Amino acid sequence: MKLTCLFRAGLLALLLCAGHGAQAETTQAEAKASDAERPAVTDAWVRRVPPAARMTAGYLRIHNPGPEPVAIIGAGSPFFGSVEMHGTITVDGMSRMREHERLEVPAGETLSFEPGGLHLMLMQAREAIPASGEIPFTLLLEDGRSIDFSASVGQPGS
Amino acid sequence: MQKTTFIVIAVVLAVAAAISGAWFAARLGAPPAPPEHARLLSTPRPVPAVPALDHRGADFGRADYEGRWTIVFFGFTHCPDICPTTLNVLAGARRLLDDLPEAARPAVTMISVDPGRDTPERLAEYVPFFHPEFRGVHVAAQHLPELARSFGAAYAYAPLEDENYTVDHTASVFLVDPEARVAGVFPTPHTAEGIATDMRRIMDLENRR
Repeated sequence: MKLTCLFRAGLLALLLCAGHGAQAETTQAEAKASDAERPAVTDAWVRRVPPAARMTAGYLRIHNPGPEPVAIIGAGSPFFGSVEMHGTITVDGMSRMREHERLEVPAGETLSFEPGGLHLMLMQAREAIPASGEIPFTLLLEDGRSIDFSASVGQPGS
Repeated sequence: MQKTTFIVIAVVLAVAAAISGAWFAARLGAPPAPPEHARLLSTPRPVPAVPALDHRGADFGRADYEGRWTIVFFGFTHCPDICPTTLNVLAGARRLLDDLPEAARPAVTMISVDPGRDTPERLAEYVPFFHPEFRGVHVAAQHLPELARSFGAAYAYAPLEDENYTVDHTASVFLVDPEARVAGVFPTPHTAEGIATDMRRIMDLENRR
């Protein structure tokens, strides 16, 4: 568990640092082809929380337009020391939260992270969690690609 | 002959029932609509008197429930998803009831299932953020089981990495009546509109008793 975590953290750090270098190595044609099929993140937001809160949750939709399933195996943000994928499940009124190490987005489908279900659990805020503005994130995919996006801080419906 | 008598009696009874029914309906107005989402207990259970503090550090007891309806949620502040979601929904429901006279607006209370981390000070930083009138309640670990049991609420500690932990807890929202009795429960999922509409119906039913 710890090792997997370290490995994932290391992989993520590598990708965050070297992501742009690796991208530059792909040819223009390859880049164009993969752009059309690149999973896209939309409607990303982070729940605004009381100033004292040390953690919050991030929500988003990820669409996979490609012909193959893609799997998310990690997430990171420079604003947080730890970002995990969690799912809240409510059974018989009892709500439980558990980590997901891998989430698959089937070909042509959209996976939604939304309140009461999947969420990015954002922990160890480096500074106070901002009450507004945008927070940058990176999702790490199993095939080695990563997706950068930013999420606005707010409340649902505002 | 006997059959005819029976029919006559039945008809007379039916007419009498219809007339008295119409009379009652006219006297009482339209029959009150039952709540749509809330399940009301046939026998409300008194909230036990256990020592507790609100987020200002003041004693919180049975007297705090008396005189108005209270919506009770069991949650904790290190809860990134379901607790803020529910508190937001409850804040929305409360705002939808702002037209009621102040004393008729339900109180909203979050009882912490994580007394080790949720001190009254921490609850003060957290709970009123969602609505200035919401109260956070701290119940010491040794009294929490008795209180939770009286509501029919459950909670369990689940380890996370790095000696961190999270709390599995009942996400249903409970209703305490103005006599400090657990009177009902809103099962998940919750919406502000659903809770607000049901609160009006429940108070309406109560007023007609």
